[in-house]
Amino acid sequence: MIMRKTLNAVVLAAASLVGVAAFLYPFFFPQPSETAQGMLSHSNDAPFLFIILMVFCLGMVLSNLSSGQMNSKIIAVLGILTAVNAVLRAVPGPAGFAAVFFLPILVGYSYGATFGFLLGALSILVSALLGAGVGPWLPFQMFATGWIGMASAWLPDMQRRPRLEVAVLTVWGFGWGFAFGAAMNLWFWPFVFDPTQTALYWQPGIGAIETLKRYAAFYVVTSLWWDLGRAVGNGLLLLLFGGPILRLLRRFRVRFQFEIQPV
Amino acid sequence: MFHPIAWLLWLGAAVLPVMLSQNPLYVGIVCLAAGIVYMVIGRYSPLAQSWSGFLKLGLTIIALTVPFNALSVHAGRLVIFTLPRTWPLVGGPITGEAVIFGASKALSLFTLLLLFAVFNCAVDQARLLRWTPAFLFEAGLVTSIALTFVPQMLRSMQEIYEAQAIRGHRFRGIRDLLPLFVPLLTSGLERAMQLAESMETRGFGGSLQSLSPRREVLVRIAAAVALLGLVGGFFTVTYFREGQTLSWTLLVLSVTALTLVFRIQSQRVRRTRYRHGVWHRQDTVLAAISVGLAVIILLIRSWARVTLSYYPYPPFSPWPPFNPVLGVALTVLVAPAMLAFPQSQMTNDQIQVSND
Amino acid sequence: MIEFENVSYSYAGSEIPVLRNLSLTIPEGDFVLVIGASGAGKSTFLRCLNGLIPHFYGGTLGGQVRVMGCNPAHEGPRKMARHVGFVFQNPEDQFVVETVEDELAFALENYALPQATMRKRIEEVLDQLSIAHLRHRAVSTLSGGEQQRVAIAAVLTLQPQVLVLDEPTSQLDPQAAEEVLDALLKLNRDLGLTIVLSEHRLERVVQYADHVLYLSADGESPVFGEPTEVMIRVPLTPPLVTLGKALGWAPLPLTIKDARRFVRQLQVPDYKLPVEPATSLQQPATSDQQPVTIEAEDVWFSYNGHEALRGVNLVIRAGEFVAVMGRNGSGKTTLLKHLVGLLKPQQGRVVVANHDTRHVSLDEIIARVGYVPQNPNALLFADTVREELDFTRRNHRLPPVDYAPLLRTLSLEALADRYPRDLSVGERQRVALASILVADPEVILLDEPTRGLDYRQKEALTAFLRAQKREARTVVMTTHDVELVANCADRVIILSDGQVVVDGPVRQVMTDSQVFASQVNKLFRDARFLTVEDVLG
Repeated sequence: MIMRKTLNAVVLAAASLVGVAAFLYPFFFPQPSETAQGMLSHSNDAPFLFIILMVFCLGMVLSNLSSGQMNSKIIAVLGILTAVNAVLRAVPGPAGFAAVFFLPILVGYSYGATFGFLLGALSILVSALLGAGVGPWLPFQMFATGWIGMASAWLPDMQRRPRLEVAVLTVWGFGWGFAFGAAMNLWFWPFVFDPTQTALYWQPGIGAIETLKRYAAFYVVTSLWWDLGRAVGNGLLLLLFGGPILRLLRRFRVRFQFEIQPV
Repeated sequence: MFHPIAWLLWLGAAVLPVMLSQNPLYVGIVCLAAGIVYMVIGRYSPLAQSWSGFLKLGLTIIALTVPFNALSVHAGRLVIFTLPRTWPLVGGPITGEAVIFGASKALSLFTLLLLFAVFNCAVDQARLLRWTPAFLFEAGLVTSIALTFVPQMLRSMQEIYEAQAIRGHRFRGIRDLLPLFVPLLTSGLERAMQLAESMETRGFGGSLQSLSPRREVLVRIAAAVALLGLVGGFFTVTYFREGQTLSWTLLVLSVTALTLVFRIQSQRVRRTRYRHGVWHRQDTVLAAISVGLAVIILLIRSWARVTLSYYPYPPFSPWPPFNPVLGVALTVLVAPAMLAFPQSQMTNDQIQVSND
Repeated sequence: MIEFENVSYSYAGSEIPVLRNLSLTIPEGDFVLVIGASGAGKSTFLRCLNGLIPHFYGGTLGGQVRVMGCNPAHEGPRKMARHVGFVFQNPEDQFVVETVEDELAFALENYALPQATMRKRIEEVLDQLSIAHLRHRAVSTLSGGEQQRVAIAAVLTLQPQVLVLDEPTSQLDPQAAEEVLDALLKLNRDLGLTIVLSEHRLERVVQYADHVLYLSADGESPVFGEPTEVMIRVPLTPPLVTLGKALGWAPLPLTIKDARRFVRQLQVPDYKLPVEPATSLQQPATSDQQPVTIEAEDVWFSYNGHEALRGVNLVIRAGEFVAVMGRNGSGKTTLLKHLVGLLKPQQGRVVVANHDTRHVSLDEIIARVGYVPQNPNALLFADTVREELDFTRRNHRLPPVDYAPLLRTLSLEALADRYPRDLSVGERQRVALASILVADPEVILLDEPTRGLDYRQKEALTAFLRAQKREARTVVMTTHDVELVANCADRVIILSDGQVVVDGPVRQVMTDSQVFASQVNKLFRDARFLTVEDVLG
């Protein structure tokens, strides 16, 4: 059992590493050593290759998480929660805010990492199939939302101190609001790159520090305000509803007698 | 309609040139082809009939990208006018190159959206889900349960809203969501219990088996190593000119290992499929065309890389180069519109019956 | 062949056994009806038949269960699925995939059967349950009766010898219930399938059963035997059987046809033939002097192209108890929603307590009118029953009050601090009632209040509604339940296709109607006799 858990964790860690790499590749770009012409045509492949990588990675994680641990109860509960979360995402909030992290955070925190990851990733897929549309961004969104659910399981269990619990979850959700936005912009940022001396765009070979600076500028200009809305929205939802929904989820955990191993 | 797999191949072949090249001439051809296909499948899918929404979206993208690019990039020789240099960010010459490049970016983005829209309309999601590979069976089942539950949930949302409204509940602030959301989630979880029982009584419990512990250990190690190999391969292929053979070998090995892992993991699902989508002659043609096009593009990319690239700013010409071979090749993407099925073959998923 | 030998079972974490030393033998091809109040262990008994107990629920199981030569406790639900098909209460909650045909294939795919076999079996069950025309439909678009037949078909594909159904019709209207029961009878008759069915509506099935199993919630020992023999020993029975027992009819009649024989033999002291219909019977319970509470004038309403109400006219006076009846889709619920202002007439007007619903806010109407929706689950969300009542009071901006009297009338006082979702269907229904009545409305609207209730719960509800009538509250309810109407209502309105076709005093309407008549009334065809009480005095 312990062996299996460890191995599960190793695969998840490897896949996450690949995922992080696929998100962050602009930061690792080496210095150019050749003509501008060659560099230029070459760099165009990167976004495409990393989308393929992401798809592979996602398949691996989904198949690993589900293999051998799923029984009918877990599948049914996941299916229902996924539907609820996909519909939540479709409910329009102010300023384009969608409550898509609220449930994965709470479910990841109370039912465990596997549950959190699968709920996050699959609810994005379902909402895409329901009409939000399938597109090249889909694997990135699935991965990022899955991570949020998974990472929420790593918070210490604070069931004994409900006020602290809600406070921590609120801050956690607020933080993820920004982190998600920053990560999601990365998938297309290099794709819209502009090979001139502008302060906002990625260029091949500018090095990690410079990339980081430019990305920060790009992020502040384009996405910060959206993400602020998302962060505040998530924080607020967790602050107001975190307590009652957690109580509900815990009640049902007893009823379902989940025997899912934590990762 | 075509088989989902045939559509998937078509989508891959169409996305490839758009993502590898920003050249507006090639992208334009793809866009035109996708538009024709979109119109033709509109006959079968009501989703595909709304052009106005799509055109609006396209115009919005152009309206956002072109001024943004023109105002933020000041390189180029074709100066249209000059803004005072003291203005932050937007100050400087506004150039034709920047306008052209902005427009070509908008075109790429729009084409990508259009391609996926065609795919979304043409492929029935339930049909696509049936093609979930066996190693993703559980994930596919969760998705299917969710999709089945959504209409029921929307109905119960309405019911809950009314029930609380006549109890005096009003939506005044975000806090008032709770009396709506909690009954919804609770009823959902109660339903999950019933659903699990129902699956159990229909023999679900045994269709999933665990691998033997030894195999499982091996599979997981292989999976981890293959994933790391894959990322290593991608990095070295993308960023280093030297040692390309080695990188490619690494990539090929990793992909093989992953495929093997997927295969082994598929074996643990002991199920059969009721439906086998019918693979028509037209599907073969479409698949062959798509794969052929992808091969041509990849060959051009490795031997005549420059053909694909486009860079309007000095020292290069602002006008995109055009390779007629590639241009003609790209026109085959209209194939789904040309290979349209006769009406009698339109039934979904006929079932092949063996004569026994 | 199903054998129970000294079977006892208690759920995990509970000391009290639900089943105690149960022994019985069910012959092959039998149609067995399982009855008893909620909480008596009907579901538990049924789940022992296919191994869901103990495999899904845990707990402690003692004794021996044998079904078709297998021991379900050893084999587990998966292996048992080939012998025992199991269908649940709510058809919608059983579906895994979107279309009917895929749903039927699910079990076969789980057993990895070859495609040709699957194809053959699916065609067979499509015909057996007459659902071939539904094969390409999405399950969510089907009616309740169709859904339940699909659910039955989905387990029959594995060709089990026993079919077990846990209250399969309790969530359905009478028409749909009829459809499902007819299908079951046909399966039992034509295929010799053993059927074990738990059911509240005895009047509809008891005459078809070969055996009846009665389980008691109060720890009495279970009774198993021929229907008439069990009915004599069971406290809560359909009105016809209750009457037969009271008058000492033997053998106990289970159908109107059998009972007619006894009516003909009745002597004058027991039963007087009316010389002419008494004029008092024609009068509604309240006189025309009472003020008008609800008035609908030429109300029209349509939902996306479907005309639900077509020129409804209605006057309801204070203190009246009105039952709105009619088949599914006749506009009953739409009418009720108009009376509380949830829907506004598209043409015509509705005046409730002197407010035209088109011109006042919902708040002003609900201060006077309470509406209890069909599904109590749509309402209940708080952690305790008490908080549920607090929520309503707060919404109505009413000061807190002592809930004890209200809870006592609904026999909920012991449950005030329980989690509402842990309660039984009947208890939830009463909590929903309480959470509406706590605002003290003058008018009470009820939508299908007896759905899913057993006889005992129905009796409690009837008593409660009669008390409301005595307190001169105006009550309007939609229902399919003729016995409830016979027991409580003064006046019946029958809707058909969005129009009022009948509006009159309950005794007159029931006597005139073949369909909307209570069992006792059907038996005597006399306006003086609607309920057992009317006959026995």
